[in-house]
Amino acid sequence: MNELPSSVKFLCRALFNERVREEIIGDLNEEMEDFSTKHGKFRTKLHLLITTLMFTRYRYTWKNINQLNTSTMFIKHTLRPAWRNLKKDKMSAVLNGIGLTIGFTLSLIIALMVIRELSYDQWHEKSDRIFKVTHDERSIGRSDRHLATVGPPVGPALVEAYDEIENYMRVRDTPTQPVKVGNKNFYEDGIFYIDSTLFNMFDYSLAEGDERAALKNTNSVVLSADMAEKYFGSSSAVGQRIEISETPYIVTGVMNPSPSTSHFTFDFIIPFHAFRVPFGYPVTLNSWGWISFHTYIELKDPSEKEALEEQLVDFMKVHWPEEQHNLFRFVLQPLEDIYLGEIKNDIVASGSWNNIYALSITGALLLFLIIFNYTNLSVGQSLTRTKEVGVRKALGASKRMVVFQFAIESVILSLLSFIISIALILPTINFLESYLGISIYAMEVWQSNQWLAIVATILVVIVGAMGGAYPAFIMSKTKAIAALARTISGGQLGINVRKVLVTMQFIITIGLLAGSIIIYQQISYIQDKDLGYDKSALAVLRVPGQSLLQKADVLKNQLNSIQRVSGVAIGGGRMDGDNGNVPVKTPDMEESKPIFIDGVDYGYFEMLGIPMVAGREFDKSYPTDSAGAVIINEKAVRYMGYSSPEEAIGRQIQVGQIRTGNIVGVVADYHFSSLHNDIGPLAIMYPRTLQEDVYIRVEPGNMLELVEEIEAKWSSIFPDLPFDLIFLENHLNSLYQEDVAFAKMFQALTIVTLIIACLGLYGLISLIATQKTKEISVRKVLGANLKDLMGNLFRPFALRIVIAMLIVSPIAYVLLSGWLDNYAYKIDISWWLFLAAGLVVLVTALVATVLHSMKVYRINPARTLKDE
Amino acid sequence: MKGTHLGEFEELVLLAVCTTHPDTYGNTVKDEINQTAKRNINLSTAHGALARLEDKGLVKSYLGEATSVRGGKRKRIFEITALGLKKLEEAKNLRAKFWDKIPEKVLQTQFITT
Repeated sequence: MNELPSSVKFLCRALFNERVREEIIGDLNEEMEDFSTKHGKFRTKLHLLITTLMFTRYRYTWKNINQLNTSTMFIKHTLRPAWRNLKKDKMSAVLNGIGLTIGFTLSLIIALMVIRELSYDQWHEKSDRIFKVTHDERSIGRSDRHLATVGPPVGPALVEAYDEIENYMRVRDTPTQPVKVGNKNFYEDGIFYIDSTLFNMFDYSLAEGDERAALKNTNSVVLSADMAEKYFGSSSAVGQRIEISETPYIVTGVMNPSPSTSHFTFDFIIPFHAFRVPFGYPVTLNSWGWISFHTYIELKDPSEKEALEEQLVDFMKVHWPEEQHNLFRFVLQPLEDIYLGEIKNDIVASGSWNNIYALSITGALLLFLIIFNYTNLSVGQSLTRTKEVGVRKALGASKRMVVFQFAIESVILSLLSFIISIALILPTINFLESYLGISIYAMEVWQSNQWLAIVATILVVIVGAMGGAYPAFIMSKTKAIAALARTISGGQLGINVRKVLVTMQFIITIGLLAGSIIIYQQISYIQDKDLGYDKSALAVLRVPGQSLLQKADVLKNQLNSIQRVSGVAIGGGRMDGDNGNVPVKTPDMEESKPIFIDGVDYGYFEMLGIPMVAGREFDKSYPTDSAGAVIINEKAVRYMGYSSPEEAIGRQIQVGQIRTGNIVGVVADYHFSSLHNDIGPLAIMYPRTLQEDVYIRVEPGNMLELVEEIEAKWSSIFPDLPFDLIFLENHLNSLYQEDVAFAKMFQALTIVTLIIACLGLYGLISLIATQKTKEISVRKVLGANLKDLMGNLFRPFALRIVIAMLIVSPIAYVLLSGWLDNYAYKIDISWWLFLAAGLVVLVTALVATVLHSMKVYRINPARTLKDE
Repeated sequence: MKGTHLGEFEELVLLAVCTTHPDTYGNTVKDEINQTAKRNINLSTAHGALARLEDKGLVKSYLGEATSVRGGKRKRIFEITALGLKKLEEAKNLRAKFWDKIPEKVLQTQFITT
């Protein structure tokens, strides 16, 4: 290198004054020769650029502002007055700044959250080529079932039959299982049997172990990073022994942590070929009708999806008996659509478009509100600057220059607010995460979406420009003479637009207020709803079916012997909808229908406080109950075609392959799943294999002591099993965790919106009151009293609030009904809600009016009218 | 008092102005400080310090002759002024005064520990 890079030369010419330019260029030249002997070309260039820029720290290198050329005149005539104006009117700059900062911060967070929801599973390199094979009965119009799973032979047969399918992967989920590591016991979810193609198709990778060999042997297991850490700490997990449901496995791999945006997550992977059909299942791994396996396929070319789907009709016909050809179709679901798709499945995480819409709409409304507010206030403020504009125009400023001046001021303020909001964003996220009990994964989203920075900056400039643009256009229209002669009174400018903006603001505020009231009501409704049983003071102890089979009576006796335990009964789940689903058939039914199942012990319903509608519940004194009796719920009565509960008693019934027997009782409907779902038809049987949860009714007092007491009994009976006790109410609340988080988020946004709206309203009324000072003084002189003056100020607002109420009510009604449709059990939206929301806004406006009109009223008319 | 006090870095630069004489300009001052004081200062830092010292009247400068090296650009050559030299001496004397006042014992312990 023997000449300075042109960029450096350019910077020197642009930045430094003539006095120092020559010596600096010379010194840089020497620096370059020196530096380039030790470093590469790129490093040298970078170093020179940085050094050049560092010179600008010193004032003596700067160009004299008076010698600037036209492009840099900008600083002197635009930026400097802009800064001065911001400083002059500190109060409104701060008000606007706060509004903008809050708005930007929350909008950014919402954007991060929405982007994350939309980006599920996109981190796999082949994400566009991977599809899930699903079982769809809807297309045929026979049922509304669309299952996420298919039979175990589907995957291999597909790869065999079609060249365009490269690979398949099957996933078999398992219930919670005891895991033994060393001499410690745990209960673990997230244990899956998965084909070894996992590592070829998806971007999962191993931190330890060999991806090609890890899933080769039937006794190998791959752990997630979290599990490896939990069991083995920092020491290597590979080669260690663990036991899952008393079967020994060798750890052959540890996964690298993967992005949180995966529709399903696993902690333990056992090779699929190690999967054995559980004892008593009337199926094999060649049963096409065993629709319980998540199956993914990888296409060579994603555009072949449609053509392939059509061919799958023939594929199905080859493998299914003819009478079933019109029961269902295979549908390929793109990997990226699974998370937000309509199929809900226990092991698959799913998001909801509803929440995404609600979040984006609120975010957008918030942003709009801030722009309206900002415009409103800046219109008002700009009116005080007619003189400045007059001078500018008199000195030859064009319309464009005046607009530019106002816009730039506004952009500066919004950029400053943006910088503050960037600083605030992490603390805000931390707060939201702890307040809402959710994870926002901001850093993760940010890392893969850095384009957001550019979009956000552009948006910020647009918001700023828009806020400044409207007053700018008004002001630019001002005639210089008129402005200087003060024949324009501020109040006349931009009145119509302001009216519209204020009405819009009221619309947004009333809408959000009504929305958050509805959401609050719905959430408290589902939390307080009578579930059909007495859920208070119930502890639930999980026991594996096998262990219960042997020691149920011992356990019950031991628990009953505790003084503060008033009842013990055994059931088959935790009222969270984790029930199986099997076909049910009676001689009176033409064909079988699916029914939910549960397994309960003697006296279960009495203990839980669920009444029997007809017949009786399982009883020890009937020896046949344990082997041949079935209880159904009220829903199932009609479902199976009986007209009354009494009619169903004594009928023969076959429930899947589990039970053939007679109906001995009909139990009142109770909610065995979350309130998102309607109560479904339920068949209840006795077998111990279906029972795994011991319900314990406890008496109030020191719960910690009681739990210790129960644990002592437990470990005397099952010394090797982990102790897993929960309180049912806590567990039920956890079913609504997402709903509560959503409701809280919405409420937080509403509160912020309200604060901003109040600030805006307050600012606006104060502005109008100030502008009307003279008018008010004249009225006062002529004998008006405070009440009349207040009415005069308040009437236009009241009118707009009423208009806003009328406009927003139907819109909000439709949106909120859509949200409520998420729930099978929901509240009604009552008409007075919108009225109430409107009233709140009305009162706020009234308070602001009263405060300001008092202030103006107290002014002595002689003072304000002395100029006339 | 601003303007008369000599900071530690300024003192170093002033010393470097003396040691590099007569070939005293941005690059040489920077190199002198980086080599002797084992620091890593930027060229612009040296420039800034020199300009400030000139403002305070501790150094004076003139433009040198143009040569064929460094792109034919002239150097700004710095020279210490009488005031600068006086300040340096003051700083040195001040330090010497403190050194003289250090008790023998302190110096001894110092040697033992090092």
